[in-house]
This record gives sequence, structure tokens and C-alpha cells, in this order.
Amino acid sequence: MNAHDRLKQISARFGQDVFRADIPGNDRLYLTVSPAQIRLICHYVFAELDARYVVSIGTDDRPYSGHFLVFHNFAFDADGLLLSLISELPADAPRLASISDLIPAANWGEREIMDMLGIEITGHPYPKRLVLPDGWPEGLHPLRKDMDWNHVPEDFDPDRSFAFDAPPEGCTVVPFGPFHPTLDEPAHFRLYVEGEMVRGCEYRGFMVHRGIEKLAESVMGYNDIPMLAERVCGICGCVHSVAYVQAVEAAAHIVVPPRAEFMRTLMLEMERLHSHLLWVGLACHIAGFDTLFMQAFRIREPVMWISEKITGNRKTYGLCQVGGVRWDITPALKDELRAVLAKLEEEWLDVAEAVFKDKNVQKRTSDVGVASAAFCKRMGLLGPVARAAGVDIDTRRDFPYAAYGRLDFAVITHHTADVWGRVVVRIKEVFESISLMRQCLDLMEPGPLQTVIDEALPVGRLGFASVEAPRGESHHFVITGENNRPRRWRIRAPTYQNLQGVPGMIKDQTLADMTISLGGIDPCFSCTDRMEVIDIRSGTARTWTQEELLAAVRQTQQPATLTTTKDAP
Amino acid sequence: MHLPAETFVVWAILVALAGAVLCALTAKFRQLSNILALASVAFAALFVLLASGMVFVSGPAVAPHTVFSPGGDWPDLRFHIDGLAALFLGLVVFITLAASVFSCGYMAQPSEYGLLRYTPNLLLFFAGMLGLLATTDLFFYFFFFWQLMTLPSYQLIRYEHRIAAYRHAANKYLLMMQLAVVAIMLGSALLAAPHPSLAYDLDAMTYSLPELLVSAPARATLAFSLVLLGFGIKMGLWPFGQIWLPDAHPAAPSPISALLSGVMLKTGVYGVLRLFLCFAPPGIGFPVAAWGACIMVCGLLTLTTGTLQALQQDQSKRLLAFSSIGQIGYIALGLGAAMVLSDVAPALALCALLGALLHVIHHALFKSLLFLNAGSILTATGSQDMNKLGGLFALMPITGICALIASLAIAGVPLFNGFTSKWLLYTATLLAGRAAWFLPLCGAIALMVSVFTLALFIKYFGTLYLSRRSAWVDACAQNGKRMEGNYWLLTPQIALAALCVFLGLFPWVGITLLARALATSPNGIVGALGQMLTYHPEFLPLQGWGMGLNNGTAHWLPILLGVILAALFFLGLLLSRLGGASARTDAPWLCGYAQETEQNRYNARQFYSDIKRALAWLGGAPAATAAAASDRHPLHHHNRQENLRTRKEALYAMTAAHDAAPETVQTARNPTRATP
Repeated sequence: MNAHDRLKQISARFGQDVFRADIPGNDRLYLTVSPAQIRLICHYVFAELDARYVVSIGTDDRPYSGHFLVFHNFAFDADGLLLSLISELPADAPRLASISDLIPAANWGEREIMDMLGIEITGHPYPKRLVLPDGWPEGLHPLRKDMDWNHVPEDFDPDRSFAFDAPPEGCTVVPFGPFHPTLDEPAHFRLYVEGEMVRGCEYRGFMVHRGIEKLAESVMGYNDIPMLAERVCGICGCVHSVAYVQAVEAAAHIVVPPRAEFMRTLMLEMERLHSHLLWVGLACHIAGFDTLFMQAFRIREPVMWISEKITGNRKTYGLCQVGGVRWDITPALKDELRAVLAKLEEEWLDVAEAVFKDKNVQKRTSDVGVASAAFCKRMGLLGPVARAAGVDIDTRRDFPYAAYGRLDFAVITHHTADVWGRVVVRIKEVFESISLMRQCLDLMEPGPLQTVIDEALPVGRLGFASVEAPRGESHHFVITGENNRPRRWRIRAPTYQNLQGVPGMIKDQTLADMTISLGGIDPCFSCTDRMEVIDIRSGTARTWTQEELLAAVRQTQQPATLTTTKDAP
Repeated sequence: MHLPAETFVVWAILVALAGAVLCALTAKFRQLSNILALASVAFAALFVLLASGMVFVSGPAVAPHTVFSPGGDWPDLRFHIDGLAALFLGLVVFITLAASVFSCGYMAQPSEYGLLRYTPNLLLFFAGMLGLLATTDLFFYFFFFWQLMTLPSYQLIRYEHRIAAYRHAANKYLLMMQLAVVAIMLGSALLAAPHPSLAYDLDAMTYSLPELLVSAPARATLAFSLVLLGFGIKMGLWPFGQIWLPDAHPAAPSPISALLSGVMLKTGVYGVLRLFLCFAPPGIGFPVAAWGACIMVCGLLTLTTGTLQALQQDQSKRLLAFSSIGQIGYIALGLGAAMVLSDVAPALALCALLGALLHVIHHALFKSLLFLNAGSILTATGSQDMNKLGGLFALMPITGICALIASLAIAGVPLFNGFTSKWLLYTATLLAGRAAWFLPLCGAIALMVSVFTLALFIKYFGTLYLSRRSAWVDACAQNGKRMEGNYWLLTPQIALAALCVFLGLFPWVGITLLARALATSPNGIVGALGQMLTYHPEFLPLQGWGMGLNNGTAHWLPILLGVILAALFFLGLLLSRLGGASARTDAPWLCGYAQETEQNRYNARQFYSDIKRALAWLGGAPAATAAAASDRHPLHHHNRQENLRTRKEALYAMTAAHDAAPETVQTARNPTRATP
């Protein structure tokens, strides 16, 4: 069913409530709908048309159209169609009915809209602060255009602490994170524990929210942003930069040369390889199987080396630009890569056999962190988590981008819906990645790496792009704008959705299963720890307090001048 | 003038009764009444200890002493103090003395409950126990003394009678005790001797027993079953103990709990000893081994169920009550083992009997200490809910050290007295495989269950004293003020704790005392084993200052181990000093973000949840209402008016909570919970 058919279907039901329809291509459908009917329409799309919820995005469009805009994005994976339901909200009192009670997956998306844009989401089941720091004043919304990117609120209160909910009767609270030996991301779970059983939790995250979106739409240029996007994540940086440039290219209808597409595909798969190798190692480590952890890291290392040879970096490749890529691969490197892949495939087979034959890992992870297919749909879970529950989605196949349309690969699914299923999926996906990279190397033709873009990009266009990150679909949204930069850029990493599923996965299982369950979704690395300084002469140890650390950081960071924005090529 | 020992016991009882009258008259003056009760107990204790000492030194009287003879066919009241009776009497007066000293501090607070129902009842209860242990009668006077023990203790259990749960507990106790006395009297009637005025006298019945065993073995079996049932209910054997004991102990004021668990249960043990080990002379065809096996199995079931059920408890005194059931099981196990082995392996039988008797003494010491300890906490915090309490060690360190000693002792940790008696029990059972194959099995099970005892007291001591200070305790402490009890509360605890350590370090003291008690008890198996000691003194499991079987299979030298451990401790300390090791005290690491709250405390409810889940079928799950109902903030504890006001406020809060319930549910909803 293509975009036109879907449009007919929806307007047959909500004819007078669909104000405008845009069909920029066969895979995109933008419907401007009546905000009053948003709940009915979303419910129809989600429940009856069985679309997958992607994300909700808010934007301050007041300087241009005089409205706030809210986008509820849905994906029809089987049709390769992305649907965006756009609500135009009045500038003076932006208000929209919540859909989180119908679609639990929209919980964070809507709370983020409330935090960042001050759009009132009425009837939200849990309208608690999500993104903004604890001390941030009420009523100040960073993504509104009338707030400067470098504004420091005077009434910021660093001492204010977060008001946690009361735990249920009979439960003790066990804090989990932000600094934790096995959770490799600064997020805080407040686990409600009854004896050894986890009965629920409250989540507080977004502790390293860096204001990347605001920064990009305020001071950076189109081609600076890919470098920033790469730094969104320590593992899947290339995914974010590809997703961003693809969103811009989609908005501006820029065609990318084939060799550039192959280079993107190659490096995306490279990233998946090292991410999955790392994850399997960490999962084994969490399960106490440290031999495999060491082996996985040993096997992974040549992948990092060859990445460095191709791009100059083990990570953070600096690959993408709007309209192409910056690096090429030489024939010599091609051969070297083939050799690395051949060795990797063999060694990975050994590891996979060790994992599958040794029942320890299987027993440790079976029936742990269960997320059924229905649960995945409800919470919008993605990637290996969904595929392990038999949900057959993969952006590379469903919404082909870069060179994936020309390549042959299988989407790995499993039926157990637990952490074991995620282990199986990821282990097998490594082989698919190796095969994909070999196909890329075979099919690559010589040619240009970059489209010549000789005029300014059109203004006010919407661009959506999804890229299959190692953890699932990474979704980027761009509205092109003036001054060689987008008006709005929204990143939705797969962990954004998957993390929302964690409380459901860990409920009613033991505390000991918490780490591997959380590890099962492969949350991103962003590990910080306290700093301890030892004076060698006196031998005394001293722990730095938060205030001291902040003061030290602020000293070195004094004049934050970000004035250079490169022009588009 | 040479007075028999029995006369002193009569005087002790009379002193106690007179004291009861005095206390009743002075009940309005709380502290006076308390001191009078203490003086009466001390005075009576003097007589009893004199009597016990006389028996130990010069042996028991040849025949029972007639205290009172009404003439005609009416039975005579006769007392007979042999070594065993002297031992138990000594134990009763010692623990009662400790409890009365504690009472002077515990009951001194003005309260809505007057002392008229406390001090007189305490003394009557005391007199009843003395009489019960001294009398040789098993029918009329037994009934009299039994009720003299039961009815006052019933009053004491329902002392705080405004709490419905306590009334129910007391009623249950009363009912079970009446059942027990009926069973014992029926058994006694079946065993009656053909002697008009001494039909139910134990001495007289002993002489008619051989004939009864031959002429009507079924009747004898029924009689002994009934007696075992009765005393089993009293001492809290499975399944009867679980019915009354865990409710009654927490309900009573703490010194009374200490008496109930420390000595009153032991009257049941004493009954079993009298009827099964001191009654039938050896060689008359009394099936000792069969009854022994029966008592052993009862003991094994009791110690397993009691201890495992105790793991489920969150109320301090209820936990201790279940643990009492468990420890009584050990005693029963030892008695049974002694009976099984008495013919085939007398040395091991002696070992088992000594173990059981020593455990009677030791349990009386550490369990009454624990109950007094829980009482101290109750005084300081007004709660026995272990979920609410925590971090008491810093606020009441002496009480905490006493609790630690008692916990280590009851868990059977070496160098403390509990280890000594358990060591004897395990040695006797584990080495007796050649004599009876099931003994090592029972011993092994008992040994494994004692691991749970340790777990239990890790929970007890850990949650009450060591965990983070709870909000409830903080409120009680009023800015970290010490909450240590006064000298009335502390003295008995320190004395009991010191004895626990002393008897643990010098086990020969207890064993020598017991050997003397056996040697001065002429009747039955106990008598036979006592006799044996005179011919084979090497059978006594003593080695120097330690213990050991003289065939060389088992040794226990506490002083040696103590010296080694102390040396190692100081060596470690020295090394740490030399190396300049530093220690740092810090708040718990809550992963760097959340503030510490009351909810972060790991409270008693969270302990051993998997064991509790697996053993839920055993029953004994906590009845939270009983103790929660009694929880009062100590600051609100003073007068009745205040109490009424807080109760009213609680009532209003309760109804208000009902009105607001839907809203609270909604706000408490977990944001990221998956299911809508």
C-alpha cells in the first residue's frame, strides 16, 4: 500500500480533519490534521492500521508560520512508508491532547515536548520533568526560538534535587546508576525492590543532555552538523551523521553519488560489527563469562585498526557531508579489509559456537528481560530487542537507504523475546554485516564521492531519515532553514525508545537480572566516574566533590566562542 | 537445727505469696511496688539457692518431704528436691531475679495500665513455677501449682488488654494450657498407684509402674502419650508450640516474655525429664528407646519448623518466640537421644543428656537476655517492628553489645555458651551411628538448621542495630541523643551476657554443675547415668578446662582457641598500625545522584526473600497487626489522654486516606511502566 492509498484510507475516515497532505515521495506522507482530533487519528493509525509509533517531535515555528508544530511520526514497515501527523498549534496557548495513554511509547516524546518547548500536553498520564536538569527553572523552554542558545538562567538552582515518587508499600529502594560498574550510561534507575524481586522503578536520565539540537539550529552550518552528530554517541556516531545528512538530502532532494552510498554503507556496517562485538563481550562480562569478554574484545580490535586506516580514526570517522562522503577506500585497503573480514568471520564463528554450545550464557539470559512482540509494539521497541521477539523490522530493508537497496541480506529474528534472543540476533547479525561489507567491496564502482551543491538549500522543507543503528532505528528529522543551517533538527536514537521498555522488562524478576536486562537493550556508552587525585608526595587520596569538578571544568572552558560556521561547498 | 531443703522452698513460695499481697497493696506507687517485687524475689531466691546448694552438697533427701497432710483420703502435698529439681529451681530464681530487676526499669514509666495486674501476678507466677518444680504430685497439687503458674501468666500476657490481638493471644494461651493440664492429669490418672493418699505421687507411681507395664501395656502407653502431649504443649513442641507461643510471647511485657521463654517453657522440659527419664527405673521393661526416638523426632520437627518460621518474622519478639520453639527442639532432641542411647552407649547418652540440660541453662540465659534486649528497644523506641527500626548501635551501644553476645551465643558461635551445649548434642548424635543409625541423620539436620539460626540472628542484630538509622529511630532519638536504658535495664542484661561468655569460655563449670546434679538425682535413667559417673568419671566429657570425649574422638578447647584468635586479632591490628592503614567512614554510595531516604534502608522484610518464598508453606507468616497495633511513639506514651488523642488522629488520618485514595494511586503510578 503506497502513500496515496494510505491517504485515501485515512481521509475516508477523517476527511474533514485532514487539512493538508504532502506526498514528497512514495515513502513519505505528511498530513496536517486537526489538533482536536489528534487522539482519534493516532489511535486509528496505531491500533487499526497497525502502524509502528516512531516518535513525537515538537518545534517552534512561530517566526515562520506563527505556529507551534507537533509531529507524531508513524512507520508502516511493510509498505516502507513513513507517516507524519502534523498538528499546528496557536502561538499564544499551545496545547495538545496526550496520546500516551493510547500509545505508551509516546510517553517520553510528549514529555520532551513539554520540557523543551512548553507545549502543554493535556491529559498526560505522567507529566513529570524528563529532559531538563533538576535545577532548571520552571517556565523556561530551551528549544523556543526566543531563548538564546547560550542563555544561562539566573535562577538556576544547583541544589534542587529531583522529587522522586514514593515506592509501593513494602518495597525498599535500590538506586541503580548513574555511576555504576555495569550500567555504562549515566542514567538513574530507582528500583523498587521487595526482597530480591524488582517490583517497579522510576527512571531519571538525560544527565548529560548537551543541548546539541539547540546548538545546531543556532550556530552551526549544514556541514558542521555531521561532525557534531557523530559525537552524539560513542558507538554509533556514523549512524547519526549518515541519518542527519540523509534527512537534509531528503528535504533538499539531493542525489548522492553511488560510490558515496557504498562508502556510507561500508562504514555503517563496520560500525555495526564493532558495536555487536563489543556488546556480546559485555553481555558475557555481565553474565560472568569473562573469557568470552576478552575474546570478543581481542577479535574486535582489527576492526578498529582497519577503520583507523580507512578514515584516520578508530571511531568518529568524520565521513559524511551533505551530498556525499569525505573518505575513499583504496584498492590496497580493500584487500586488507577483506583479509580482516575473513579472519573475523572465522574467529567469530568460534565465539558463536562457544556461546551456543556452552549453556551458561543461555541459561543466564533465558527468560530474562522478556519483551514480547505486543510489548515491543506498545512501547515502540526497536532493533535487536524487537527482532528477538520475532518482530520482523529492519530499516535497512524496510526503508532502504544508501546502498542497502542493492545488497542482499537477511533480517535476523528470534522467537524467545528474552536477552538470549538478543544475543542470538546480534551474533548472527555480525555474519550478515560481514557479508554486506563484502558485497559493498565487490559492487563498488569508481566514481565521484560528492555531489556538487552550488546553490543554497531550499528553506522550510521537511526531511526525515531513518538509519538502522546497531541498536535499532535511528530517526532524524530536519526542517531546512536560513543562514545555511536547519531550523530544527531532532534526533531520536533507538535507546530513546528501548530504554522506555526497560521498566516493563525488569518488573517481577530478581534484582540480579537487572544488569543483564538493561544490558540487553545495549544502552550507549557514556561512562563517567568520580575523580580521585592522589598526591604522590604525601600519599594522601582526595576525592573531588561535584562543586570542585564543575569549577575546574568551567575554568578551562571560559570563553565559549563558537563563531566560525563554514559555508556550504 | 537441721532443716530439709524442701522447707526452704516452701518458705520461698510463702515469701513470694506474701510479696504478692504487699505488691497488690502498693500497686499505686509504681516504683515501690516494683522494688517490693524485686525484694520478694530476691528473698525467695536466697531460700531457693540455699536449698539447691544443700542438695548439691549433701545429696537429696531419701524420701519426699511431706509439707502438708490434710488427713484422710486427701492426698498429701509432698516436695522432693533432687539434683534436677535443684537445678531447675536455681534457674527459675536466677532468671526471675534478672527479670524483676529489669521490671524496675521497664515498668517504671507511668502508663495507662496499672501495676496491680503486674507485680502481684509476677510473684504468683513465680510461686507457681517453684511449686510445680518441687511437688511430687501429678494430679491435685500439680493442678493447683499449674494454675498458679498459668492464671497469673495469662493475666500478664493480656497485661495491655486494650489491644485486641493481645487479648486473643492470652485466650489462646489459656486454652492451650488447660488442654495440656487435662492431658497430663488424664495420663496421671491412668498411671495412678493403688495407694489412697499418694495415688498420684510420682514416687508412689514409680513403685506400681512395673506391674502396670506388664498388666496393661496399652494403658501405660496411652498414659505416657497423654503426658507427653501435655508437656509437649507446655514446652512448645511442634505443632502445639506454633499455636500459642508466637502470639503469647510478644504480647506480654518484655520481662514476662523473658520468663515465659527462659523458664516457663522449661517446666515442660522438666516434666518430660521427670516422667520419661527419672520415672521408670532401668530394666523394668519401659520402652525407653522407643519413647526416646519419638521425642527425638518431635524435637527435630520442632527445631526445623521453629527456626525456619522464625526467618519469616519481622517483629522482634515474635521472631524470638519462634526461635524459642526452635531451641526447645534442640533440647527435646538431646533428651530423646539420651533415652535412645541410655542402654547401648551410656557415655554418649550422658553426653546427650548433658547437652540437653546445658542447653536448658544456656537457652534460659541467652533467650531471656534477648527478650530483655527487645524490651530495652521497645522502651527506647516504642516499637518491636524491625522494619521501622535500625541503626540502634550508635544510640544504645551497651544494649547492642549484649544483643550481639546473645545472638552469637544462640547461633552457636564458638567461644559462646550456645556452642558448648550444641557441641555436646552434635557430638552425641553424630558419633552414635553404631548405636542407632538415625541419630547421625538427626544430628546432621540439626546442625544444618543451626545455620539458619545464625542467619536469623544476623537478620535480628543486623536490622536492629547495624543498618542505617531509620526515620522512626531518628524521631525517637531527638537529635542523636543516646537512648541507652537506665541501670535497671542494663544490669540484668550485662549479667546475663557475662554469663553467656563465661560459660562459653569455661564449659567445665556448667558440666561440673550438671554432673553434680545428675549424681544427686537418684531416679530413673538420669539416676543410672549419675551412678555411672561415680564408677566411670572418665565418661564425663571434660578435658582440662575444655571439653572432649575421653576416647579421643572429639575435643573442644575454648581457651586455646580464644587465645589464638586474640593473638591473631592483635597481630592484625599491629600489622595494620605498622602499615599505616587508614579507615574512612562515609555515607552509603547511592550511585551518585539520589539522596538517601528512608526507603533506601534494607529492612527486615527484605531479608531472605527466596528462602521465605520457598518455605511459605511452613506457615508462621508475620501477623503484622498484633505488634503494629501496639506501636506507640515513646514520646506519646505518657498518659491516657495523649494516647486517646493520637489514636483519634490516626483514625481521622485513616478515613482521610480513604477519601484521597484514588488520587494517590494515580500519582504513584510508575511513569515508564509498560502496561497501561
